[in-house]
Amino acid sequence: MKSNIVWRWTAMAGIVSTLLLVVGFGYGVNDILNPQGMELSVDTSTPKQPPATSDFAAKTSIQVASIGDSLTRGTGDPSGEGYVRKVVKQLSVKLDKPVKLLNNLGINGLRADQLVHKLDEQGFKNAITEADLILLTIGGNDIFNSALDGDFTSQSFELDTLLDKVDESSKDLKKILLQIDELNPNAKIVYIGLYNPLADIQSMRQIGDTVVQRWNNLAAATINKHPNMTLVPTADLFQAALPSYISSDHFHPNALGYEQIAYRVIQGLAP
Amino acid sequence: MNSILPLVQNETIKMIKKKRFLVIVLILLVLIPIFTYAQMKVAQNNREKFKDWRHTLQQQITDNENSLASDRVPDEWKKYRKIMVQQWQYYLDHDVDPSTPNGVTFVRSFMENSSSLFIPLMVMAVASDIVSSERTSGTIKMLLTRPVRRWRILLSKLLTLTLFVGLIILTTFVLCYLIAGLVFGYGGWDQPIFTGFQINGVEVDNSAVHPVPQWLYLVMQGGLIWFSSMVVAILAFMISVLVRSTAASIVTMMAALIAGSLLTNMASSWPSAKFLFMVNLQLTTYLAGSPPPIEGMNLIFSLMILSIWALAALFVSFRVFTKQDILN
Repeated sequence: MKSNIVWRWTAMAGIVSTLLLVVGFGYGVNDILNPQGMELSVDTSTPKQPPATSDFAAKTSIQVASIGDSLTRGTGDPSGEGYVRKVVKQLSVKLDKPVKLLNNLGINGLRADQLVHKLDEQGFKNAITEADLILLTIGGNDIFNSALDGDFTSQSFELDTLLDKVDESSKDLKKILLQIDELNPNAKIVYIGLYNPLADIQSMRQIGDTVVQRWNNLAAATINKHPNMTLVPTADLFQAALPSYISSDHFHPNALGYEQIAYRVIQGLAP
Repeated sequence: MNSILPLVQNETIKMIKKKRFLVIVLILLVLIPIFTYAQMKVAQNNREKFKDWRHTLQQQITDNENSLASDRVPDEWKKYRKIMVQQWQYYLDHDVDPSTPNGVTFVRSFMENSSSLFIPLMVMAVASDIVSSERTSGTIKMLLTRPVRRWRILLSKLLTLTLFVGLIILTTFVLCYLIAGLVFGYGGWDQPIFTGFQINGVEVDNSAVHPVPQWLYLVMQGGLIWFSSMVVAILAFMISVLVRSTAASIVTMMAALIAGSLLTNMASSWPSAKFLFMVNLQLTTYLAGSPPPIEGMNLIFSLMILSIWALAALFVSFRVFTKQDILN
C-alpha cells in the first residue's frame, strides 16, 4: 500500500510539472517567434544630482570618475593601477577621508571623436554626474596612432598633416570638456596633458614636441576659461627622462611614469 | 490506455526503488549551496567596490569594450562580447538592473548555465539504464514473458521517463529557489527581464525588445529546458535499448554531451556541427538573446534538428526493442 501512495504522489507531481513545463515551452516559443516590441518609458523621476559643492574640504567622502583612453586604463603599468588608482590612494591619504573610484571608464585606443559619442551613454553620464573629481586623458590616439603602427615615413607623419589633425581633434576635446562641465558643473575636472612619446627618436623629436605643444595650448585655451578645470602638464617629464618613464611598448608610461603623473595631479588637488 | 497505467505504475515504483532520483536530489543539495556561495561572494565584492549596480554594469561594459580592442582575443569572443555589450547598454539605458541579487535571479542564471550540460546529465542518470538495467539483472525475461505487448512495455518506460524529466527540472527549480533564497532573499518574481533581442551579425536590433516579469521568464525558460531535456532523455533511452551494459550506455551519452559543450565553444569554424543535436540543446540562448553557437541557427532550426534526432531515436528504440531476440 505504501508504494501505492508513493506512486500516486510521484505521478501527480510528474504530470503537473510536465504540464507546467509544456505550457512554458509554448509561451517561450511564441515569445521568441512573435516578439511584441514595445516602447519603454524610462523612469527618470529621480535624476542623479551633481554634488552640491566643489569644495573637497566640505565633503565627508570624495567620489572619483575617470574617463578617457589607455592612460586612464593604466596600460603599461604591470600592477594595473595606472595613474587613476594611484591618485585615488594618495588623495585619500592626503585628505584623510575616504576616496572612492566610481568607475574607471578608460578604453584602450579611444579617440576624442569617439569619446564625444560615449558621453551620450547613460553609464558615462551616471558616473560623471555623481563624481566630485573627474580625471581625463584623451588625444594621444588621435595624433600618434600612426606612430604606434610604426608608420613613421608615410604622409600621416609629416608636421603639417599632424598639426591639421591637432586642430581637428582639439575641437572634440573642447566638446568633451564642455559636455562634462554641463553634466556636472560642481566637479573638479582634471585633464592630463599630452607628452611626446617620440622624444628619444632623433628624427621625430622636434615634430612630436611641436605637435604636443600645440595640442596642450589648445586644451589650455578651453580649460583656462573654467575655474573648475585644471590642465596637468606631463610633457616636461617625458622630454628629458623618457626612458625611465616610458613602458616597453614605447607609448604608454610605465609604473614610475604613472607615479609621477599621479603625483602631479595630487599636488594640484590637495596641496 | 487502461492497460498501460499499471505498467507505468510498475516502472515508476522500480525507478523510486532504485533511488536514482534521491541521488539527483542529493547532488543538487550539495552543488546549489556551492554556487550560491560563489554568487554571494561576487555580490559582496560588487557591493564593496561599486556604489550601485549602474556603475558595476558600466564597468562591465567598458571592460568588455577594452578586450574588443585587443588582437589577442579570438573573433568569435569579440562577436559575443559585442552583442552582450549592446544588451547591457540597453538595460542601462532603461535603468533596469539585469542581475539584482535575489533568489529568483539566481534561479534564472543557474538554470541558464545548467541547461546545456548539468540538467541533461541528471536526466541521463535516470534514462541511461532504464532498459539496459533490466538486461544486466536479467529481469527483462520476466518482463517480456508477460502477456503484454513489447511496445507497451517500452512505452510505459518512456512515459515514466517523461514524468521524471518533469520532476527533475521542477526539483532543480524549487531547490535552487529555496537554497539561494536563504542568502539572497525570496523576492524578485516581478522584476522585469528584457527579451526579444534580435541578432543580425554583430548588431543587436532592439525594436522587438519587451520586458517580461521574471516569473514568466522562468516558466518559459523551464519549458525550453524541458524540451531539450526530453530530447536527451529519448536519445539516452535509445542507447539504453541498444547497449547491453548500463555503464556503456552512460558513457556513450556522456561523451556525446561533453563533446557537445566543447563543440559549442569552438564550433564556429565548423558550421556543419549545427546539425548535431548537442550543439542545439541550449534553447534558452534564443530567449536570452545571446548569440547562438553557430551563425545562422535560430529557434525553429534548433527545434527541427532536435525533433528529427528524437523521432529517429524513438523509431530505432521501438523497432529494435520489438524485434530483437533476447539472448543471455
